[in-house]
Amino acid sequence: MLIRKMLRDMNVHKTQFISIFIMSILGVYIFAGVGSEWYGLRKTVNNYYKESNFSNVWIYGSDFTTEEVNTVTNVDGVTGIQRRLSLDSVVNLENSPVLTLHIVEEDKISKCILIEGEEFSVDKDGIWIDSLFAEARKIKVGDSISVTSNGISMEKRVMGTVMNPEYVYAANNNEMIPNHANFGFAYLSYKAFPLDIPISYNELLITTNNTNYLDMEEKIDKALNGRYSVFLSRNSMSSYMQFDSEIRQHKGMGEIFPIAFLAIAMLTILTTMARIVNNQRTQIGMLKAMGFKKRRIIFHYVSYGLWLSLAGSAIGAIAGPLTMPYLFYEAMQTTYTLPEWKPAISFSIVVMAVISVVVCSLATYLSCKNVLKDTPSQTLRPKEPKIMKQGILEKTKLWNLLGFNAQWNLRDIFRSKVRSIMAIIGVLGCTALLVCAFGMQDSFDDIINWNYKQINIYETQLNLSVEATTDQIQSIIDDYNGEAIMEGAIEIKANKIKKSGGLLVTDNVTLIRSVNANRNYIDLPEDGISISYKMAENLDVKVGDEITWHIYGDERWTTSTIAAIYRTPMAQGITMTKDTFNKLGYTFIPTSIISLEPVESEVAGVTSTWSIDKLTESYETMAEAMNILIYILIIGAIVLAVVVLYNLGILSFTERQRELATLKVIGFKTKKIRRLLLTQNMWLTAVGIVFGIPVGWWLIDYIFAFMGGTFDIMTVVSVTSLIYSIMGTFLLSLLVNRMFSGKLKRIDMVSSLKGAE
Amino acid sequence: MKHLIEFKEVSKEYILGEKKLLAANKISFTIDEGEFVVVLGPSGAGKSTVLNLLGGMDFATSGEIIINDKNISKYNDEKLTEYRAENVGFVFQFYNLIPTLTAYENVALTKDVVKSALDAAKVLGSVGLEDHLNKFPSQLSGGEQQRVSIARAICKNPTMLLCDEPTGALDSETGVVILSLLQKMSREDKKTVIIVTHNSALAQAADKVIRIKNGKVRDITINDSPLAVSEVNW
Repeated sequence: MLIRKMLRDMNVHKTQFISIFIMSILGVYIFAGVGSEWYGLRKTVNNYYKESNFSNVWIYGSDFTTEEVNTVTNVDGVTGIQRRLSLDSVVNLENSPVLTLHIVEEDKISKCILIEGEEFSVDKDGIWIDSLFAEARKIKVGDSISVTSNGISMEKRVMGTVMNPEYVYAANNNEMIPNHANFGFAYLSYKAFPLDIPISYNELLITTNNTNYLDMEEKIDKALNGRYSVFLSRNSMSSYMQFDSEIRQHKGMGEIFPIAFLAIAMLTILTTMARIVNNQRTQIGMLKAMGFKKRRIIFHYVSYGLWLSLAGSAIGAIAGPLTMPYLFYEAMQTTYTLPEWKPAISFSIVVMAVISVVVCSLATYLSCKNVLKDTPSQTLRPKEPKIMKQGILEKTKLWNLLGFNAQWNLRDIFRSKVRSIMAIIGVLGCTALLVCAFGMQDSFDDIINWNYKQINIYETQLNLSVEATTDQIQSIIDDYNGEAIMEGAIEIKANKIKKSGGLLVTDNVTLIRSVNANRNYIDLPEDGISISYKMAENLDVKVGDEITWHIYGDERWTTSTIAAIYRTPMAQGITMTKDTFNKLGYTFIPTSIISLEPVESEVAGVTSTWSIDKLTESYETMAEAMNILIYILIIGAIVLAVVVLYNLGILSFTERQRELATLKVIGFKTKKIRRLLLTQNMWLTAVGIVFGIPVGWWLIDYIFAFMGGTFDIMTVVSVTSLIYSIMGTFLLSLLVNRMFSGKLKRIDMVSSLKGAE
Repeated sequence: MKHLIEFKEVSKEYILGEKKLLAANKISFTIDEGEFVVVLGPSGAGKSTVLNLLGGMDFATSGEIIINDKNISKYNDEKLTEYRAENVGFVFQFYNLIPTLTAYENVALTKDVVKSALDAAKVLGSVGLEDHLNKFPSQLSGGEQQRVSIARAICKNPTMLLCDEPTGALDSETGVVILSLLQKMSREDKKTVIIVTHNSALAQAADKVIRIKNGKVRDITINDSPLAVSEVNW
């Protein structure tokens, strides 16, 4: 019978219970959706890394001998080692795409996963190529391709298409979005390499059971007697790092928003249940008089919150993983390569669902435990009315200057504090989510502006082939009125911290400008090196400090003093002029020419040409997964605001029905009463907005803190976005208010003023 | 002879802020099985306090309340709940039905408390509501609602029926019907029925009248030839 009572009570208070239900669904839905999304990625990729025996450490050098391999094998912590020769080759196809060739003696570390064709074997002649490259170039197993590297050409039959764990994020230098038609990798057996050329193994792949890579580097350095150029651990390997930080971003966002929904569900339950329990005070007294045990009565009321949140959590936990991950996966597939895209349920989803049920039940318990404390005879009597006291404000002279409207509303707000605070929190949440959503969009747009309009003011970038001759370079500069730059990858050390970064050397460049931390233009010194803001922060260095760095592929370390700090959103690293570079004993070899003129035809000595438009576009593709989150935020904000405000509207409306009827009896016009209610609504909305804006700002900062990696994102919220957020919140608030005007008209003066029973 | 109910110098003190209110002051009386008892007194005299203590709805400050040889004044909250469930059927002035349950469901609710509860539909039939089983309280008249609440009280087959101003919210004609029903319970089904009221006319119909004033028992009279409720001159 009590279950029937519960169901009918829920039916009477539909709105509140539906909103509790929606909130608990939403909270768990988002958590479970995003949770299973990132957890699925993590699980898939970890499995991928494990099955392919993904390397922990890469050592770059030259002519690694069998003896050296053996010495490293004996290093404490090393569990496996394999040497290989890696070199870039150009494929004899349109646009000369680049394939990185890996020539191996065996395939046991960073193993290939076969997609189509025959399993890799060192005894088979032929080539195994990147499956996505094959797909983009429509190459089938059994076709032959011709590759050229360092002047040596080979024609090989494609034995199979493969994926490799080192190419989860397979973007070529300077590109953000992998272009599988232009860049890929291929595997060959050492036996398949032309016999007359001795193979100089330039890489060692090492698996370790010790993840203290500083320690490992020391040990391996000793074993090799320092005869290598680069020690690269997983943590600084770009494919690994990029994917890892992507997962962490999703995780961070997936965790913070459900908390907001859960908090709202809890507040809704608190207010709704407190009101129901108060209204049913005599019913509870009756149940007690009948001999119902306290426990049963408590359970009866707790079950209101319990069943709803249980059903809501269950729906959310099931629907989330079934729908949401695929939204992300589709957007992410353009950027990352994984053997499969499958969401996974983590234990934390169950925990979250349980937490949500416990929190909701607890909120119900808290709101009814007071009524149950009294003896049955007390409970059967109506509650003594709350004693009204004059507030401090009401004693001042100012009070009398306020009109009836303000007086009535101020009293009402202070009398029903919980309701008012809840309204403010609801509005706050809505504004914060909107500011966060719009602000994130602004901040991403700002990166484009900053990078491509403020700093890089060229139109075209022509990437030079390694084989480009000095004459070819000079003629490109002349033809396109270009400027030469050299880009490279370096490793920087300072304060015992080691980071990978970019190197930019400029030769009288005017098309790349520099800004300081506050984004004002500065001129970098001609002499000395400058470091990017985020890199300086990561290394904990400032102007005048020393850093040590070396170019990948060159074992020589150089120590330099920082002359200036510039800020850039994307490539963190160091920059200097050609003269400084030469003075340090390096040779300036241009890698690209930048120009203001468009390039349409193919140019000799150039591998690829990028226009700013194309770069902007690829950046936007990459931000697509982020955009999905932004839409989710906006929808969440709207649902949140409508549910909370409507729910509160109903609550305050029924609570004040007698009061409003009295006003009507006295002769207040409906319009005037509506304005009375609207005033309060607008006040609370305004307060909520004022607090919501900084919270939204803080949310953006929080999310960006997860981005880590090489991006330096400044939190930007434009005035337009602020106006949108504020207007949006106000509009929602007004809209909800409108929903009540009909009800207001229908207030029945007679029945509202009749006795309580 | 052994009494069903015995109050021995029972007092109840309420503390209201700094003031103490003695709602019951050393009240003593006895009630036997099957008696139709009326507790009379002006409002504020302490009648409801007596009823609450008798029904195990409140704790006595001092004194002993013996029901069926058991001293319930020593009971804790949990044992009192059990006592209420097994022994007491309440009928209130404002019926106190659960508005979201139908007449049948309100009565059947007792099954959740007492395993040995009677059949709800039959009990409702015995109070003349066989045609209104599936109506909600708001669809019933005051007299009908009170009959549902009596049905709910007797459905658990309690030792005693405690009625607090059962006709207080009804017109006199309906009141007579309700009171006759209660008297019938006592006469025919041998139920102990205790009615608290300020209407002294009812005294003529009672087996025993306990008059209370200012928290004290003023007198107890035994009526050798009680009238039927319908014969009472209201």
